[in-house]
Amino acid sequence: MKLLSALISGLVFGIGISISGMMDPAKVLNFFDIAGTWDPSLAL
Amino acid sequence: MVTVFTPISSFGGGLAIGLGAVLLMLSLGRILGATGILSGTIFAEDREELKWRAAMILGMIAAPILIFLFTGKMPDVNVPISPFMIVLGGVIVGFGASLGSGCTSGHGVCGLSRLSVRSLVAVPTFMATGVITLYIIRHVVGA
Repeated sequence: MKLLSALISGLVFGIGISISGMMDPAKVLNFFDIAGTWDPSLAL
Repeated sequence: MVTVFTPISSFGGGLAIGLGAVLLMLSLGRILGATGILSGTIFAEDREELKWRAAMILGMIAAPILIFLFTGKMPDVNVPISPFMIVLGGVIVGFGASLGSGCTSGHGVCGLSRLSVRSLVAVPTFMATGVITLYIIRHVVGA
């Protein structure tokens, strides 16, 4: 049961990371690049 | 490179990230710190601790595969930097997460929502450091 909970938590967290765009290094870098190709998506 | 502004999916993803952290806290009473969970799996102190961390990582790895099975499309992954910079960045982030007692998810997702004072210090510090470091690398050095 503990393991299943951990697995599901990991799955939900991973889905969040994936659909938010945080899996994409280019998008994460652009979140920090205020002076250049800024993409504020990850502020939401 | 330019990336597309995706407010809706990023907001939805943020909800799922928070939900995952809450689920772990409700079921196991643990803080979801991805770096700590990974290092706790590699350098496991006992078997029980190893098991739930390994299950968690399995879930994280399965997530994009599940998304692919449902949508037929893998999430975007573009790596605009060299392998050397990735390794260097990984070492620095790992050092910082140890020194700062937490990583982006531990401090940023769990710590802030628990109103932890040290997270309130850690998050603006690493966010600002990220902006400054990238500014120097992209716009001063011009890499």
